[in-house]
Amino acid sequence: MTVQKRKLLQLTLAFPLAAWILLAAGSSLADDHAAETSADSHTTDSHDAESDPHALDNGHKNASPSMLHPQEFKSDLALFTLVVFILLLAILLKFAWGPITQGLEKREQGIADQIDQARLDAEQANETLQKYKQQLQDAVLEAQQIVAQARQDAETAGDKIVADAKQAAERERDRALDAIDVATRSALDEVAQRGTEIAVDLAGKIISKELNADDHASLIRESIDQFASNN
Amino acid sequence: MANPVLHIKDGYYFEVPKMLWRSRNDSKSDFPNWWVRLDDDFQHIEAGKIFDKLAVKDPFGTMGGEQQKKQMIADYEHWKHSGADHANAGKPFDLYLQSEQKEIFQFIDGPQWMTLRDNIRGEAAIANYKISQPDWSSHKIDEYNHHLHGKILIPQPFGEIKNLHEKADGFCISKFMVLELVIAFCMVATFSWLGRRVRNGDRPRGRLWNFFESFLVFLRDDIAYPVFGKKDGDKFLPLLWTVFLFILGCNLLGMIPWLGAPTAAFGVTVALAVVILATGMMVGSLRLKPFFIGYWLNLLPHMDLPLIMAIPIKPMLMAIELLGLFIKHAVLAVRLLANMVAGHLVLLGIMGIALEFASSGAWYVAAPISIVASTLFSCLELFVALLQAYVFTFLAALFLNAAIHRH
Repeated sequence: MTVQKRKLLQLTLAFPLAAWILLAAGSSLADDHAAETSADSHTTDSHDAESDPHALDNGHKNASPSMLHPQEFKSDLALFTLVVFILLLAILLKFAWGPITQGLEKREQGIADQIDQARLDAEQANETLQKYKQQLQDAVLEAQQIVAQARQDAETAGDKIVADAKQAAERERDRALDAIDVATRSALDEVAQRGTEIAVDLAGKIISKELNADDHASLIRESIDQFASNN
Repeated sequence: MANPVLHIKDGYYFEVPKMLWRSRNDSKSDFPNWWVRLDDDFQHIEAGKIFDKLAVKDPFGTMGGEQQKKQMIADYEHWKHSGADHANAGKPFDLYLQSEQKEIFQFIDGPQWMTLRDNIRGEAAIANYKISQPDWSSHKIDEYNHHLHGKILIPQPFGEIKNLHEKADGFCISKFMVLELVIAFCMVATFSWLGRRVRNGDRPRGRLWNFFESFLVFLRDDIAYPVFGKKDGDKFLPLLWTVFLFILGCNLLGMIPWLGAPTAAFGVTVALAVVILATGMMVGSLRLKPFFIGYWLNLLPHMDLPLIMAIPIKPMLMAIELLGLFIKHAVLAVRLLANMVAGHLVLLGIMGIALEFASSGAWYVAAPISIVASTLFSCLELFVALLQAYVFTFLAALFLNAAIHRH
């Protein structure tokens, strides 16, 4: 049910109720009037007093003048109030105000403690957070350093390998060149020797003359010199 | 109809619509004694008895004949109906003599009169009247019943009432006393229940708990602590709580149909003001040095006066301050009373618009106006009920604070 519908229902209920109460009040007052009127007309009783519409309403008779004063002071009501109030205060002190004050204080203490605790926890958490942040930052830095170091190491290692390789290659080449050199030289020597021998043989055959050992040697020498200067 | 003011005032009965409570007395012996004492027939016989007794005592013999007795009683009955605004209605013969024929009433002295009064008006005399005299006419009994319809009389075990609003003697239980007890009971029930909940310092749960606690916390944080500070505030808080809630309860009872606001009776507000005054005096006397007289000396403002000036001025000031002390507490009582009575009188006046036209055609116009107006004014009255409880408590706190601190 919506709020408006409920309000409408309340209003529709409230109006007949109010009307009924007023009608009831009105009719009971009308009764009063009727009764007073009948009392007015009724004069058969012994005293002429009965002609007064209020004559038979004994509830307010023999009144002191103060009865109609709203400010009338009644000492018994005052004393009764005093006693009731003091007793009420005593009873409530024991059964209500004591426990309530105690409870409220306890609750307030509890809240204060919780706030303190929360503040402490927050501080601690903040500290821990800062620590972790620092650690994380450190770790990142360290990682960067490690990577940089690794890269450097790798570069160094690479350079070394390349240099070693170059050295080895150079050594290899030098060795090869030496070998080639030696081989060339020995080949040339061999060629020169064979050439000389062939030439000598050839010359001997050509001249068919026996040459002695000295002649032979001087001939070789001349040939080599010739060969060397030709080379 | 009786005076409308009586609807606001304390009485010895609860008034409800006549149709809800019917008085079904069949004969004169069914009516309460006080009602019989106010009956014209009874008072006629009573007057004769008093006359006879006085005639015996008459030293001058002027109250002799039967003729004079008849004349005097006739004069008395005329007097009963002659007063303005029915002031003399239902007054017994002795009151007539006291006010109109003083010299005759002096024939009898105090103790003798007491005995005579018991003999003619005491319980035994009434019982005797109920048995021995012929019953009232059925018309009279019907009329009497009609006036008693809707009036729930409070049983009176400790005293006797004179009429619906006044007591004759002893201690009579009035409507406001019953209502005060009702409020006290409700407060004990509600707040001891609340006490059991709050005791452990748990958080407040539920509407009622929050509702009642908010009152208490408001009074503590907005009256007690700002006025007294924390330490004294905690000490006076129970008193302030009780005063506020008791007054609020009494004020609000006035908004419930057929009940009434006990705070609209002077006795109640005076008693509450006396509690505040007495508390201030006691705590002030105990606290302010020198012991006991410190409180009274504290009433005087501090002045640097040469001795010659101080001797005449200080006692005068003391008298003024003392007077002021009592006046401000009296005003505390009067303010609450006046606010409650005034509000109820205005409501009564607005309702009176409808009642005035009760048996005429204009009633159908007057009644709706009266309903709307009294509804609106009742809202204002609800506010006043709360406000006056607050004002009383706040001023009480200020007065108490002034009583216990040097200034």
